[in-house]
Amino acid sequence: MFELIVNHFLGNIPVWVFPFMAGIGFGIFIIAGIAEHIEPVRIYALIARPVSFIVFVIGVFLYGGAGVVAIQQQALQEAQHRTELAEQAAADATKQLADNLASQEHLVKGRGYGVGQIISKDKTKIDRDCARLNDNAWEDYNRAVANSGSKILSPKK
Amino acid sequence: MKRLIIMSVFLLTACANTATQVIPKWPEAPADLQQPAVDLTPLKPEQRNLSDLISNSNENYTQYYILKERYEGWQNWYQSQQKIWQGLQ
Repeated sequence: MFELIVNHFLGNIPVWVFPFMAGIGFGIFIIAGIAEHIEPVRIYALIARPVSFIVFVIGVFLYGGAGVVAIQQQALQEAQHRTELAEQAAADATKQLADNLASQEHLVKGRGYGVGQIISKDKTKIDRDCARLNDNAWEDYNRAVANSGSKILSPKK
Repeated sequence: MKRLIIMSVFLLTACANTATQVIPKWPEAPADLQQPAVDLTPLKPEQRNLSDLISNSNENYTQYYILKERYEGWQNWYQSQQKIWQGLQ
């Protein structure tokens, strides 16, 4: 609650008001100190002295608070600026990586397709010199593909 | 003296640090890196020739190289982001 009130004052009242307030308070405090010795105004001086002291203290307090707020706001702006730059750099790095990855994947697929074409071209020659894959070879190969130790597929089915 | 001490304590409360933190937005990784890895393709029952086996191996090796690119992509992405965010601290 106290912080809310202070922040409300610091956010809505111009900063120059606080040293002015402290100055007025201090001035009245001194004058009231002198006026205490003058009998006709003594009663007013006795009331004005503590009040002016409180006004002085609140003025100094809020002026100090305004200074701290200004320092914090500047630090916050600098941090925001640094964060924006970092976010932009991160986005640029991600975009560059995505482009590079898409290009590499395209190359890999292209090379795979090229090898596929060569295999198709050599199909007759490859199959001419080699017997049909037996069931064990077929099963073992698929076991390796599936990374499984158990029998999961059968070419007879 | 007592009044001075109370006043000083009161005045110092204005210096309490209530700085707000700036939380940077966590970057989104490239869409390609977030795709699930597909399974390797087994031989179909009718594929019994050596050319079928080589063709199937080519298909699976191609898939491996794509996944290798994505794996290295994750490493590069992490390293580049780490470098950027370490510069913020």
